[in-house]
Amino acid sequence: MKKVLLAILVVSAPTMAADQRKTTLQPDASYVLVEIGKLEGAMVKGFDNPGSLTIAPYDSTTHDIVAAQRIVLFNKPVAKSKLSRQYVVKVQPATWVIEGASGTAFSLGSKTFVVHPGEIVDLGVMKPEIDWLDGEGPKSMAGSMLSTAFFGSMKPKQVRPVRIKWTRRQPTSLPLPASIGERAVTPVTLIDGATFDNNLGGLINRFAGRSSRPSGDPASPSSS
Amino acid sequence: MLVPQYSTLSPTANAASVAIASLFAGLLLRDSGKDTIRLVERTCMADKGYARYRVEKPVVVAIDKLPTDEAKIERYFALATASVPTGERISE
Repeated sequence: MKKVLLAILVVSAPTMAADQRKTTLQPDASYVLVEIGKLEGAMVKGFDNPGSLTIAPYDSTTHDIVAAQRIVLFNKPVAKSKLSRQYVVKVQPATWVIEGASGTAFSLGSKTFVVHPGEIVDLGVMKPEIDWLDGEGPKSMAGSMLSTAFFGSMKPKQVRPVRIKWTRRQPTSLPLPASIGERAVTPVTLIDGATFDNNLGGLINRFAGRSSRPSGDPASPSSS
Repeated sequence: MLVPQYSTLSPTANAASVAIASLFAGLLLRDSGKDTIRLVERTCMADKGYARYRVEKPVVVAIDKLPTDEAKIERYFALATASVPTGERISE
């Protein structure tokens, strides 16, 4: 059995090492570049899942998204590391909004960005995190096994929505994909204040979590 | 939903086990959907500035003992609109 597993590892090793997918960018098309961090401890402490991000064109007149053009960034990254995955996706020039991440819609308050024709916009690093309340955290493996045995579910007692920890591209980030070549990459300008319907149908939150509610203090009566 | 069929059971017993399994799966899914709806509602209300408070059981018992529904509603309304809230604030 060990030999079989070893053989599978040896065969798959070259593809695992080659974490840079070959993509060809159209010279005049617009693209969004983003690195998405892993979602840690969503179910059990110490375990993580690839994070996902949903973007969509935003209609600032109706304050809603254009669902037909929604893009979910989860599969087929152009590059990946142990901590994150990088995506390059072709988009229509428009005002776009970060609609959600890892099952949560940021309908209470999200950020928009503008993509001009022929531009590659770098969204930086977006890391989805569970927006725990003070004192809360993921279950340990032992606690999770016990709850599965007694209650039949590994689901946390309190399901909490996700928020985004956003940073610009760092020196430690994944390198720019080779497919970008000599084309200029524009760092994103994120604009606050986009609200819309919960079209994803799951949990809701603000982009930066409950701490970004109007008063900025989740414990004060006007904000929690 | 995929439900295994056991070759050692008769078709009737298999059908019964499928029915029972579907019932429990349905109950679990329904609860899960309700949890999500409740959580979305509470998050939305909290974001707008509303808060929930957990009161001691005697307070609820005392309200339940009031003779009429109007009196009960009035008491709950008084609790909800008091300048100093009663009970422990629940974070959302």
